[in-house]
Amino acid sequence: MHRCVRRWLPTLLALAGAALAAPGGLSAQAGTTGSVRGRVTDAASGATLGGVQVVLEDTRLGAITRDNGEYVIAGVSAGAHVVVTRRIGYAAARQTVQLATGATATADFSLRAAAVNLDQVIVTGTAAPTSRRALGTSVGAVDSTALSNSGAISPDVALQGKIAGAQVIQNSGNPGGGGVSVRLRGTSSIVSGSEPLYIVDGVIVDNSSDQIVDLGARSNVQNRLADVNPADIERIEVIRGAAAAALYGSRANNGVVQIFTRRGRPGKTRVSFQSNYSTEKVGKRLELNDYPFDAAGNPVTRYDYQDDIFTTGTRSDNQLSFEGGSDLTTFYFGANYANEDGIISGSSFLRRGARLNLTQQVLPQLKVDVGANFVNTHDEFEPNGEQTTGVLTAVLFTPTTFDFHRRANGTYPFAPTGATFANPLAAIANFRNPQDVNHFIGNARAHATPLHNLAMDFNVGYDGYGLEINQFIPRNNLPSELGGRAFTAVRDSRTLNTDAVATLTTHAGDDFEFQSSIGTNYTNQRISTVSGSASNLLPSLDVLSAGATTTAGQSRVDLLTFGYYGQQTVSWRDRLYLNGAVRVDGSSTFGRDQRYQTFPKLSASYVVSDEPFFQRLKSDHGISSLRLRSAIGYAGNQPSLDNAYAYANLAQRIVLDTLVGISFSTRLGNPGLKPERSREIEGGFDLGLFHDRASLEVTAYDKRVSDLLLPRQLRPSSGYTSQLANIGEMSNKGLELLARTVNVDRPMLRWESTVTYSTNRNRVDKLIGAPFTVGYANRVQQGQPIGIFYGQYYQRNADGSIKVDPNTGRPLRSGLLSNPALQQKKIGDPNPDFLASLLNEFKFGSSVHARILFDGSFGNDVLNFSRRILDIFGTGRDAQRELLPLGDPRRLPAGYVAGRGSIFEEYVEDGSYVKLREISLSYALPTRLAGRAGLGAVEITASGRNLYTWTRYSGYDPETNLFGTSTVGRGNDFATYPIPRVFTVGARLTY
Amino acid sequence: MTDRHQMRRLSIIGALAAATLTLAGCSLDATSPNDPNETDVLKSRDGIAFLAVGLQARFADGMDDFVYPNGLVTDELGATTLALPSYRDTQIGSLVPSYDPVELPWRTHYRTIRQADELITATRALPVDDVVLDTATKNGVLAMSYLFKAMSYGDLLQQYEKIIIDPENASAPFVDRATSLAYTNALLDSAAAIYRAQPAGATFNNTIKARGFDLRNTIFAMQARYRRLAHDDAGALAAADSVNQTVLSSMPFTYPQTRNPINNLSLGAGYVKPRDQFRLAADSANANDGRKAYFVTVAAPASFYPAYPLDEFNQYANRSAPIPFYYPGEIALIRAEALTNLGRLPEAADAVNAVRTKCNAAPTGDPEACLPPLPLASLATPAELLAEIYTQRRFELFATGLRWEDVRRLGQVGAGLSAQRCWLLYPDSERQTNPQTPADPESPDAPSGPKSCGV
Repeated sequence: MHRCVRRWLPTLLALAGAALAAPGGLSAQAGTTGSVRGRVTDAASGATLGGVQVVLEDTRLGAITRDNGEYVIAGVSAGAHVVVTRRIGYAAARQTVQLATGATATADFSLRAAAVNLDQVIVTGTAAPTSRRALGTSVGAVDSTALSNSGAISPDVALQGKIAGAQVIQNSGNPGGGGVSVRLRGTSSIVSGSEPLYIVDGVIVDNSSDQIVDLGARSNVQNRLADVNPADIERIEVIRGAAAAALYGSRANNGVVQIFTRRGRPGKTRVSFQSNYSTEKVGKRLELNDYPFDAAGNPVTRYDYQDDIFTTGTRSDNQLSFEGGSDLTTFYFGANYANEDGIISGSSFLRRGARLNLTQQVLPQLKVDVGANFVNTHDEFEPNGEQTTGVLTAVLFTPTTFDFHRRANGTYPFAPTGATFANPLAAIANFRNPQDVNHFIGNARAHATPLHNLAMDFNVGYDGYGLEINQFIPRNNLPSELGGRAFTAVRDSRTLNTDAVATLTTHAGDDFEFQSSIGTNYTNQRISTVSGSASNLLPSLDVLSAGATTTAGQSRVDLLTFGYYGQQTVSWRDRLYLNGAVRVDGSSTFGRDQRYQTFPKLSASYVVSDEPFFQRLKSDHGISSLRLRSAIGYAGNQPSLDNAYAYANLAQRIVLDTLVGISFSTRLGNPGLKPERSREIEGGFDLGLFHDRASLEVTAYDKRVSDLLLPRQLRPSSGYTSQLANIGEMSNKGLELLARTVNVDRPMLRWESTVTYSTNRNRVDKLIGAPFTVGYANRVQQGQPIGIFYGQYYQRNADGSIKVDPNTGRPLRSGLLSNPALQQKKIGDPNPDFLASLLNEFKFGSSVHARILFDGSFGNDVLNFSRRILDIFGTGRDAQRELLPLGDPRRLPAGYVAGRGSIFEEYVEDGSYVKLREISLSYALPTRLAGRAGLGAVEITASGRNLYTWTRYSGYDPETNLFGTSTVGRGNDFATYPIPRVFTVGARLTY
Repeated sequence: MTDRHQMRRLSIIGALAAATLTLAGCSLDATSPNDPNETDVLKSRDGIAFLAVGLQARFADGMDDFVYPNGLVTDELGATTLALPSYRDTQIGSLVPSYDPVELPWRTHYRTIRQADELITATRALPVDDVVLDTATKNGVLAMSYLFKAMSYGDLLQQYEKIIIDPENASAPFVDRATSLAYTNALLDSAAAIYRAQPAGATFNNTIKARGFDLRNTIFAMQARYRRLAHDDAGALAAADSVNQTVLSSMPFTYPQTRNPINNLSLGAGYVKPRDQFRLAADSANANDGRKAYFVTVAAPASFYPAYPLDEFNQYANRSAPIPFYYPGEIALIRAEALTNLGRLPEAADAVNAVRTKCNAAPTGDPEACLPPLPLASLATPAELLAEIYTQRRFELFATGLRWEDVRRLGQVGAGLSAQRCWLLYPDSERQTNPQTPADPESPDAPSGPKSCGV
């Protein structure tokens, strides 16, 4: 353990002990308490409601209702108490009870379905759990009902279409989630990554998706969130920007996604077994050149290797869980076994894991809980990516006249495109790329209430995984590696974090409540990677020691972050809330001169509809509730792992023949390095209409990132070329809209709809130095959105048609070499104009449940590099037009499609799409029938994911990105593993 | 609320605040376990030794940046269908200032120069210690640093019309070729003087110097090369005479630890390959010239420009093939040229014939023409001699990057001639960051007819 923690831990434990053991601490409330109990039901159907949070206002006491709707809150002091119930999808209800010493009071509730959720408790981004009404910022929350039956194998994929303002892109269809990229309120960085901070039960987790082994250049592997089983999740909270996330300091610029796992609730132990079986299919295939003649008119045989490469994938996902407990102890245990065989032959994902969550009320004033999640995943990757050994890559690069099939002597012919290119069928049959991950996420938390108005939390979290990935190319399968090649990388990632926070609640008169918090957070992350490769392998062996020549490498990165914060909230009559907070953060990645950074925030929330003057409006205009909110906050983004030591002037190892030497770097260290800093202002309102049967949440934001890290270009004649410096500025402005309605609420039918809409305008406001291009054509240019497509374009005639060379008939590309400034221009923008989704949910009686989710992205361009390669190598359907007989009106002049290969404008396509993202139909067997079979409940579900895509895009799928989570390289399609259509049937048995 | 409660609450808050503040003092320093810190490296004797090794590797890394832009601009190399636009356009003499063939020679050479400069300063500053850094080792490191610095400038001044010779100074002007050549020769003189004072010892030779690299002969060979460039015939002759022509000096590569960069570009990526022009010209001069087979093999790989068919490299077919710093034949031809210019024609004719007739002779591993000598009657005039010297230079020095300077001198630059342009443009990255950058000497597009380069 790091010395900071060693020094800190005893202090804190002693403190907690002292607080509990202090005279009167334990006995303060003993002997004078009673209990409150009751039952909660659904007002429309009369069915009992489990999982309802019941709390006593102004205390830390509370309980969760059991499946039969009953709850008990013990240890309640005598006197008057307000009992409040909260459950997503229902209006909060409150009752006042009078409790005599040692007695039991009863409070039953009948809850009305509501689209307004002002009383939902939010944990993320605040020092203490806070009801939504008190927050000045908009927070996205998704509960388990919205995640189950999504057909997604990883939790981030399951979020698609469910959070306004979140762009969740599955980068590829690789088994195991395929790599997911999440943008909350746009892109906020260029070199430091723009993925949100992920937290699981208070544990900061590493969600990296590094390509440790080259499976064919820029192959999209999964990110480590794929190790979290969606079925374990109780709820996900998403805070999108600096205003809400300031308390996370220098890591929260890109927003925070916090995942809460199931904790179990008191009652009879519920055993549940769920099994899903899915089939996966490629949604669409590329049309290849199948013309039966070559350019000279001779008959030829043509092949379409998509027949050999794509297969029907299968997936099975099995989940066994136990949950239950007593009023003092609750537990959740979930075991999961999921196996996915992808739509590219030979690719697969296997996940085996279990989670145990245990909560124990140790003393009336002390609750402890532990969570432990162990997961093992095993993948078999197929080579994919933009070049060389990729399986789909070979389809694009190889003329369709070439026969890749296995010859009679058992060998596969080499690819005709170059020594480093693979025969795709040989790659599927003979190459192996297995990956094994052992992942542990665990936490231990103590929650103490030494005084009725003082709460202290201490949490230690650990996220660690060991990953081993191998690549094996056997002998005689690749011309450039005739002796075969083996590569192994082992990564060990360990993140330890400790959090402590104390919150004191005080009152001034009846009108004012004050909540004061202070806290600290310490994170120590170490990532170490060892890799080795060998070539010229002994026959049939795939270990490094089987090679004649071997190489090895190792790297280690330490990231230390320490922060402390204070927060003060003032509330007036439970309707006006003011909140101010400051976090001070230090990180090992900052230069010594800039070690500690300050991130303040300020927010206000005003529940106007609780004002007496509003009551008249309520009845007159159908407005049932209205809340206004606004916030300003600052948050940061640390230099990424790649730049963890960028403050220093580092030389590098260089090899001279068989000697080792030192080479000076071209990058100059920057001792003044500090985090990127964003200032976000947001404002909005929550409106409830028609007795809260409809709700509308509208939020506008303006996020400005300053101190943006960029390589400052240095004069190359100095021997340096760049220095990482805080020199840029960028902004994101946008609007988010979330509307929910309960359209029908009858005993036999409940119909609810949710609409999200969001728009974001990104702009690179300041760029010191010349505009630059990342990847193929994504440009960073001042005054433009990040990552616009920039490149050569067609010369055009006055009527707009493409100008062709009169001699060859081939298209003419832009500009003259002597005038490079005119040669290229903006030719597209991968950033969407807006995102939208529509969810409809139907409950027919208590047994049939249907959901249908449409999710769309509009106005985003995709650079179809796959089609460019089809053109250059004459593989695609367009190239076929050059082979048509003379005189055919569709015929293109010879060399036309290859000739446009360098005109990138040709390959920018409208990537707008609407997907039928999720559709599901569940049927719960009548309890009577299930009971006869000895079961508590049986539910059968049929569902689909990504079943249909409406788009004009010509490639496999416009939802893709070759460059994965890259900040600038967005919207590139190049031989990317397509996202499959998934059909699932499943059953859940509950005892 | 009682006072006791108040007190307790305050004490808890106070204690927590105190805990928080003590933590604020905890260290967040993390130093890279992966890479050495530059400042530390320059202070230690071991650091100096490793930097000296690294300097050679730095230069090795940029050796292709002299070969392929020059080869593409002249008639030696051509682009394949796989090649990027920058290579293809360079072949037809059209450049964009951000193209790799324009940027990389500049960047890699100035990077080498900085390392050489820092190494010279740090080595001079270190006290001599007989255990680790004895005088012989120190002199070896210094002579080598001056040599690599001079070779970097020498490459640069054959690619860019004007260069910077005081790169540490942010406002240093770009100087003309006469100035930069004089400076390069002065650097070589420093290297020679240090070497002559005390040759590098065993420590240097065994632990620092690359296998196959001959420090002494390379210093004199470079003196010969750059004195010739400066039209200093007597100096070139003296230096050439100091070179032991039976010794080779080359940069070694051992795959997979290091890979010959020309092999990597030509056969790994497959972007650039020899044009068949070299083989055909050699054929028409003399079909039996042994150097054809030394340098290339007939293969006809796909060429981006069908009018310019390609061959494959034979010399660099192996990933571990060494790249020579110079060929002994170049030294012989520099001698011949100097002798011609000094009026010693019979000696010059002998020197040319020595290159023509070299066959199965020491050293081995360099090109050998194995041709009959030319009768002295046909090498009787300076014009005849120079014509033959340049013909032999073309076939002896294939893919060394030196041909560009030769065709500039022969006035063969322009459309349809042996080279497509006189100079590279100045790199975009320098222009963006250095206001001293002069206007480009030529248009980005290839000239439409013959043009004089003024060398």
